[in-house]
Amino acid sequence: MARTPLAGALLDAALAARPLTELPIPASLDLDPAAPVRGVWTGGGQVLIAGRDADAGLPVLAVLRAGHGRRVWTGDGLLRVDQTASAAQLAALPGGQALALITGGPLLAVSAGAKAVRPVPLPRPVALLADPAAPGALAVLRSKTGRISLARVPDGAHPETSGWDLRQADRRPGPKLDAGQTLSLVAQDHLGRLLLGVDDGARGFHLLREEGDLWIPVAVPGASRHGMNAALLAATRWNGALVLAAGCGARAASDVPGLLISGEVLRLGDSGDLTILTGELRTGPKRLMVPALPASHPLMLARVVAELDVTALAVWDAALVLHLHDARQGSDRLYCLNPDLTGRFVRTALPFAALVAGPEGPIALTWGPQDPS
Amino acid sequence: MLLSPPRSFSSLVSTMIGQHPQIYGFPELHLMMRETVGEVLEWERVCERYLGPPGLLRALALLLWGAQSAENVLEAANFLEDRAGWKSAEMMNFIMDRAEAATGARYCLEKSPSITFLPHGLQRVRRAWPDALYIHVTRHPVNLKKSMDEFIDTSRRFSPEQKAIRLENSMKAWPVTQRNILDFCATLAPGQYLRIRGEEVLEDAPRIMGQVAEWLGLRTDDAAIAAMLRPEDSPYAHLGPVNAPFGNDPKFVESPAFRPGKPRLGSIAAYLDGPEGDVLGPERSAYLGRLANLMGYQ
Repeated sequence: MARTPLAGALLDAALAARPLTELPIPASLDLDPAAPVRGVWTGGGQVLIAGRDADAGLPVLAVLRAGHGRRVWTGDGLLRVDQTASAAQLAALPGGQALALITGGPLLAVSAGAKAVRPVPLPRPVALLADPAAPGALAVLRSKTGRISLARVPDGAHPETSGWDLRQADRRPGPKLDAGQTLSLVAQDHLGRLLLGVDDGARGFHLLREEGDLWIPVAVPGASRHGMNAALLAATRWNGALVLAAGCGARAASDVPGLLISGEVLRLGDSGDLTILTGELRTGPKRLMVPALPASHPLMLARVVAELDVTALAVWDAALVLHLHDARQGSDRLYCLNPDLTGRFVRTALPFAALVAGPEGPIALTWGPQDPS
Repeated sequence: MLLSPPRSFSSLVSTMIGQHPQIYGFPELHLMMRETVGEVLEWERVCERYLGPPGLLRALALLLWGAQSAENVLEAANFLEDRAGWKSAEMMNFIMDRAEAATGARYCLEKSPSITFLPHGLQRVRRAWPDALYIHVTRHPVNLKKSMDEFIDTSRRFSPEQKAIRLENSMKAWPVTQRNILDFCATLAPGQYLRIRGEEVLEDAPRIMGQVAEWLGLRTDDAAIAAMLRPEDSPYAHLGPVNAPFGNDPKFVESPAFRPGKPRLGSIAAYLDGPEGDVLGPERSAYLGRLANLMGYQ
């Protein structure tokens, strides 16, 4: 894939390790030059950059593919990382620090101040969440035998000297999973309750909420969509609820080739009630489950004409940003959904794998290995 | 239109939905599988139904001549012969207009399970009525196979050789028809179809029927839902005249009352671990298993 002039300009700027706010913004992106580029999300060797539309004042996001080896960038500068795997999940922490969970690889601690990246010695991490209750993050670990446990990774107060002191790590057991189930994500609802997402190809995803020492199921498997909702792909808090992106998962797609099954976005209320934001109308345990978005909404129509998975979610200026991946075309789009359910597509020139929004503060980004194109 | 392969509760569910006071529920009309009425009649003759599709004959007899009698079925057969050049969709519109005029129904519901073998038949329906709504009814594949095998085994239509071939292939129809339906539904507009598991209807019919009525924007009061729970009240739920006795599944016609209960589901893993799994091979087994999972069956 050819580099766009925009990508080239930004990569050149990044390689020169310029401060983020000094990045040259081409006019073709229609970003407001007076507004700083505030947000960056990462994943799979791609970069997402966000700014403000000069005319409408709405958020604009651009996705770029890097071709110069993977790097980690915080708001304070550019840092090099040597691992070759793609970053899957990020947790931005206060004080210019971030954690990056590498798919099938180590958990990395990034310190902007120290311009250092080092592995956190936790075995087999599978999910990561910035811990709003205390400085640090929560990592979900999976043992060799499949046992799940949760470990709080404390804030590395002095990473320059002592590193991430895991002796303080608070570990506790997680739920027991059935055969064929895998843990996919950890999230927190807006009441601060911890939830684990479990993928289940046969029955559909499960959501478990921590209550004391117990893990309580909070939604029917697959939210009544069975194997079509086998996997939870992303979660974020938005508009007073936890929003979940679900899809059929790669295994179903490979076992049943060519079948168009678009993913959907669900909203989990405080009492565990699930509503469909965008997705398939269906019968429910109590009432007909009708998507909140009308049938004529662009997001609803898009999932009919393309096999769309919502692979990442983030919140940007009160809007829910959905990363839509079209598995058939290999193309990607972003959609900014406003709280009043209006919104717009944002064209993206190049694909990316994950969209991870951090809390206010520094946000890390990673670039992948050499771009084959 | 109700989309479901044979032996998948289609007669029961279709008749139940068709009993809503604002819906006219047809039996199997077999119209839209062919382009013209003449082609429909030709195919029916191949299947040894010499007068035409029994469900269509019964519906015409009732709606045009007021009763499902043998004489009126003959009138209906002549009526169809005289209109062999009509497009199937034209005949369908004609009969729907008659049903609407007779009952004031807001919707007509048709189901012809065989159309699920014919993707171009489904597309023909879509071309004729772009705004038509579809209900996809599913059934556990292992239970469906058992039901299908019973049907084949007891049928007097097939020779022992034909039975052997049909029994050997009875599971193969499930993934083919389900895939046809899923592919078709995937191209429909949001909200244009509703997928329901037949087993859920048996378990909790008032809930499912209420939600179907809600989806269609129809009455959801107790009287309307109660009517849906009495499929035996349908004029097509019982044996028709001698020259057009069926038009619905024979087992349903034999005993059309709704009998609620939680069905005992088979196990796909156990089925695939058996000799049938060896015949299918790993790739087809994975396909079947995953397709079943997508619709909530393990």
